[in-house]
Amino acid sequence: MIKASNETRLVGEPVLQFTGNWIIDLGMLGFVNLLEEIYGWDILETQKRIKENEEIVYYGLFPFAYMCSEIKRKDSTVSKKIIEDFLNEIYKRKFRSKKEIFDFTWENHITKAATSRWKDYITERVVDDKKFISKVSKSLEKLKELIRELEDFEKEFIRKNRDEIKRFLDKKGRFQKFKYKDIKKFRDAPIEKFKEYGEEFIKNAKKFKKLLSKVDRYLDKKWKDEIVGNKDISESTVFRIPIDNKYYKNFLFFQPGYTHEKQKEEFYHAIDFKIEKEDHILNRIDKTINKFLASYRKAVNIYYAPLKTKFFINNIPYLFVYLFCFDRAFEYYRNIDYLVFYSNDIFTTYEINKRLRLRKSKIESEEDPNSIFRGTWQTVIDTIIEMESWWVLENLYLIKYAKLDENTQRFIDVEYMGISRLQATLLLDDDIRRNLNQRVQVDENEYRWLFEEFIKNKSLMPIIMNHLVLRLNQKTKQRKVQPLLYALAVEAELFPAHDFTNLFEDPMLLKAKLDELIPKIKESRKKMGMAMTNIQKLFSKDIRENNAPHLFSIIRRQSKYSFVNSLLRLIISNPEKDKKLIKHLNDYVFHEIVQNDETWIYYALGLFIGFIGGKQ
Amino acid sequence: MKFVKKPISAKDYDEIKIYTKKAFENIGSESYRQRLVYKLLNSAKVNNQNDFFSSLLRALNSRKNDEHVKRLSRKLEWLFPLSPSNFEKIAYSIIMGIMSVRGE
Repeated sequence: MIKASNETRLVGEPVLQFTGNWIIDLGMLGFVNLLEEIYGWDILETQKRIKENEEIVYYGLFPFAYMCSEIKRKDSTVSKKIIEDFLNEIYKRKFRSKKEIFDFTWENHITKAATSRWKDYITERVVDDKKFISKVSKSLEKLKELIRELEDFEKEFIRKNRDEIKRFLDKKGRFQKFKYKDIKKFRDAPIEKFKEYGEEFIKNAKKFKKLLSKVDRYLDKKWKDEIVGNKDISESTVFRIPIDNKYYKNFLFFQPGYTHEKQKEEFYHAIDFKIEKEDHILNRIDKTINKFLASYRKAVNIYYAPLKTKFFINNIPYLFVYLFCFDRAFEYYRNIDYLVFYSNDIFTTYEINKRLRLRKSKIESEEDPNSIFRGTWQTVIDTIIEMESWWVLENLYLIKYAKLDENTQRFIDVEYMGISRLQATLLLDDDIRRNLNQRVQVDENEYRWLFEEFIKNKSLMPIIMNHLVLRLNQKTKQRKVQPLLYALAVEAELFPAHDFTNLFEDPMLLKAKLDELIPKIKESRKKMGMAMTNIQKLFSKDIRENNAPHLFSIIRRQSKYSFVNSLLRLIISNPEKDKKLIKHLNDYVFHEIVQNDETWIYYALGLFIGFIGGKQ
Repeated sequence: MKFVKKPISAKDYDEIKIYTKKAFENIGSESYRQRLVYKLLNSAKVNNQNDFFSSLLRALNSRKNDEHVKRLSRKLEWLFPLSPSNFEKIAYSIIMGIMSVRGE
């Protein structure tokens, strides 16, 4: 859990800072997320580790984490122990160069982490692709024999237990041969699962599993003997670590045609920023990174000048590290697609996205398409309040991607969520925020969130009006009055006649104006609250209930003097003659309604709420 | 009727209300004032200036030597004639002035 960003700044200048370019920034966020996914560190820990030893992080921890994460995406596992061992060892060792860090990481630990992925990949290819076996049999000389043994038994097994196998694998129709995913099911199932299919099936399934583990043991030994901890790996492409990425295809270490050594080398160069061949021009920052960019080779003249590595290296070292991680900034939300919240501060952005992920199931379960907006705002506001970085409020974006897919790279929507300084100031006040942060019922099945309407610059008056209709007709169970009073008071004070529109005003003057605003709103809210209470004290329940519909319809017609007239009649004919109450109401009506041509209706409604009552 | 545009400010309405209150402190009983308020509310509702002022002046006439009554009369004299919108505001200032008299 992150502390206030002010505190994080006290620690010293953060090493990871947003650049202002959202693709790079989100890459940076993805980088932080990646390290968190694999090592469980939060952003402060990552910042600390970078500060302590930058090269270990970028040439050791990053490649290891990236590979582990890609391996996991392929549904293979990397055990906790492998990760722990790696961390222990890398921090114990002394290295002379970044290349040495990278080589150590790759040769000893990435290869170890990739073991199960490689075995899965080879088994899958061998089972599902007839031709594959002859391609690899040179390097994996015993594999052909093992697979033949497996297939021979498989035929017999299917012949004897076809019906049971079909039931176990949940298959219908003709069934001749196992696919990889069927084999996987046998491999992963415990023996007890076979019991319901009879003795013969159990016997054959056990034997099948045995043959499978024979294949597995062979591959395991081969990988461990020849790859893990070794430098000069055979030239064959068989030993390449089988990973790819949906978002990026063109990076060379994803190339299926590359050997293990070449893959390793390309990955190192990508981290080290040397992935261009001629003249240090960033050829590969074009379409490889983003489909929106043109290809450098095909459209050289679109640049004023070739992009040179040095411009980036000085400003954003490890640019490609971040770009690789771009897709890891996003989180997939059902019904919403890939989404990330972006602001100009890395700490706030990180924290808000983290909290959004925690609320994921809640956000997904809501049917209302606005729920992401609602969920985000709730989280944004909570975080910003805690971190006291309210200036972030003015620069917020929600970025939505349809698919993080190399063909489209299409983002659906970038929603600017920024709000004005005026709104930000109001929302940072605890009372105002708490009271506007309410959903108010406006129709039988419809609710409006005051907060949302407010930041979208919509008037709150229609919501209050519709809500009061429901209350009058007793069609809502909502009883709270304070949110209504706050909404009325905020709007009364922000009425267009108040000049807050001039954004280019002297900031000092604007600040002074804003500082005055909150006390004014609170004062109005207090006045309305008093008037409301006094109405309740002065009139009996019967009188209030009998007169409420009539008074409300007058307010809706915006007929100020009719309202005053009817109210005064009620007061004067009322048996209760508490002079103090009457005097107060008299002053309120005189100053806030009779004399007030612009915003009288807000004050009239405030007082009117007294007629229908509610919970304080 | 021709209306001369007079700049009527919030202060004027405040004064009218205060003068009315002071003037009516010595006029009639509480129930008398209550009846008068009803009458005035009725006239104000239909925007009938003549009725409104004839009821008001009749009431004031009973104490025409009172200092407060004189002040109110002078103020009203200055304001006249009134446009319909100004009339409503003045009328309710007067009504509320009467209503704010502290009873015995």
